[in-house]
Amino acid sequence: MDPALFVENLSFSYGRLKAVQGISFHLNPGEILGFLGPNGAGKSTTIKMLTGLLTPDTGSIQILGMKMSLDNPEVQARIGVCFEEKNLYMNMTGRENLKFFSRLFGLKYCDVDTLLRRVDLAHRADDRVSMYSKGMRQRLMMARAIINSPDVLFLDEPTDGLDPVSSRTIRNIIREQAVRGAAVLLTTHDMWEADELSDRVAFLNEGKLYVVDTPDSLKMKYGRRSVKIRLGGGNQVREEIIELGAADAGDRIRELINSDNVMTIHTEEATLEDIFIEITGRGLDV
Amino acid sequence: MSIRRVWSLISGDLRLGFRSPIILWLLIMPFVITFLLQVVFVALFDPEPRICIYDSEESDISLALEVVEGIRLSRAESPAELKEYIENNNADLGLVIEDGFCQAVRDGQKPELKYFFSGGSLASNRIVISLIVLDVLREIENMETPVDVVLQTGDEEETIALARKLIPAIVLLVLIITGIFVPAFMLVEEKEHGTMRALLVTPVTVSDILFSKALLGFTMTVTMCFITLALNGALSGQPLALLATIVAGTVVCNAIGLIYGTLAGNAKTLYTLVKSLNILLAGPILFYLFTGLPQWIAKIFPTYWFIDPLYSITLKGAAFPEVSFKLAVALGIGILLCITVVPLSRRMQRKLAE
Repeated sequence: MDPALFVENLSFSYGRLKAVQGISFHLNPGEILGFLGPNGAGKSTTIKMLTGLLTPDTGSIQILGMKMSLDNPEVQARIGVCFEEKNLYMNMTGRENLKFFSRLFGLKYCDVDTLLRRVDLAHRADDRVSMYSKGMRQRLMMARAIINSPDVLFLDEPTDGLDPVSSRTIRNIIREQAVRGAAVLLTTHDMWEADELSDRVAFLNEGKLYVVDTPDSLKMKYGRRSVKIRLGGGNQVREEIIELGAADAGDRIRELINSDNVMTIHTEEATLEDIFIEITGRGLDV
Repeated sequence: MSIRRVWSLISGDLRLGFRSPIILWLLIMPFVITFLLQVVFVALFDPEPRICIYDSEESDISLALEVVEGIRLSRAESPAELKEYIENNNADLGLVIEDGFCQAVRDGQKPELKYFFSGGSLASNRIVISLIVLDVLREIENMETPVDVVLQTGDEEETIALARKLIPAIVLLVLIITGIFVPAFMLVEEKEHGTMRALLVTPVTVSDILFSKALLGFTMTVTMCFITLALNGALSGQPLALLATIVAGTVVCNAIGLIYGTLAGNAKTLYTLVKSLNILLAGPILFYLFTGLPQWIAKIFPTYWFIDPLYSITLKGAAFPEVSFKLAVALGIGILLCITVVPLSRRMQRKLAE
């Protein structure tokens, strides 16, 4: 299978500040790649280069086998972008915004109503966007990003600062798009979201790409394979950690469960944040 | 560049434009300026002398005054009504013609003639009317006037009324405000609201955006210029020359608008640019209003090359061949300015992404 997005040795500097330093990765159709990194790691700069807004200092970007550039409408017609900043036409209604963009994509028919229903905005379709809440605007931006059924979808912090309901709607749409076959590149500093949505995650810090792998593989590689069992007896509560690799691990777990003193059992696998810190030496919320 | 995408952008701008107070103001501006011009320069500074007469017997004097050109005559039904007319400043001067007045004049009795005037009337108008009345009385008395007054116009420039002289200035104002401000403002709004980025990640290119703003600005400006000329009664018998002049002027102004729009990152910077530089563009107007100034200086301004033809066509009836050279220069300036937009648009694109 040819990758939907192929990036090789991409670099960009703002003056003397090296924002992105020689990153390479690929993204397959139907795959969600989570770009994890703290603020200033280079995630947004990478998205700007991938969407053609910035011209890289070095490296190449191929989308669906075509070279990416801002003056290549053929590529732009097949991508969808949802920015972190809210950039809608505030004096247009939600419906007008979507219809306007559908015309720019040259779509002969666009079922705007279905799209508005999908992002729970059908009841406010004819209100001006200036009257929308933050969550509603973000949902409308998501609808706009998928209006052309893109083959590659770029999402820059799509759920940042949103209420749980709006976040869930957006996450569901991301999954649907991947199931449809779109390659999704998602930047976030929310490791829980990345873990839940991403088929693979990429760790970006200070413009460098440290690792690209599946969350499970990273957890296996960097996390502890152990179980923490809390036991209660009388007024005393004690914890026992059993390494899963140990020869007698199964017997010991069974023994404890049969003791009737088990209060809780937790797996002790590492979170993506733990792994990120271990690999980059820096936290995600910095 | 794609015509379909440009048209889609224009249709979006049209929808947004009619919801923008600034664009709406630009659309009604020619009407407001024309109205102000009529009030200030025609009704206030250039009114005809007004005389009100009470004449119970329809004497020869009132009949003679009726045919005099250049004054506005009204009649009162009674001396009280005439007084009211004067008090309300509806006439500069009032005249009560007593019964038998004209006969008394003919008989050489030198009857008394009373003028009533309002404090609000212009002294010049009172003098004009007084002289006209005395002239009429001489005719009634069958006296020869001591001299024949022949009206001779002076320098052609000087005989054009100030209100008419200002017509090219109003058109220039429309050109500057609509022609420059519409494309510039629309570009800056797209940048300020981040929608330009949203457009650039669709198949729309920077050229599509710039061309759509320029085309909308061009159409609006040409239309508003012709509306302004029509409102001021200045649509001459030279439609080709007039159209060519307006088109050349609009091209120059639209190109300047695109330069402003690509340079300014936000509305505040745009207003600063407009306020500081537009005064330079309006410079040639000073040379038409004050003809004593060295006229060659006007040629330094890029706007001179279409304002001068506009002045010649609307006020002097010049034909296309007479203004074609200046229009070609104006068009050349417009093309040069358009070329300048290309590197500025690349700079804008970089700034947008950073």
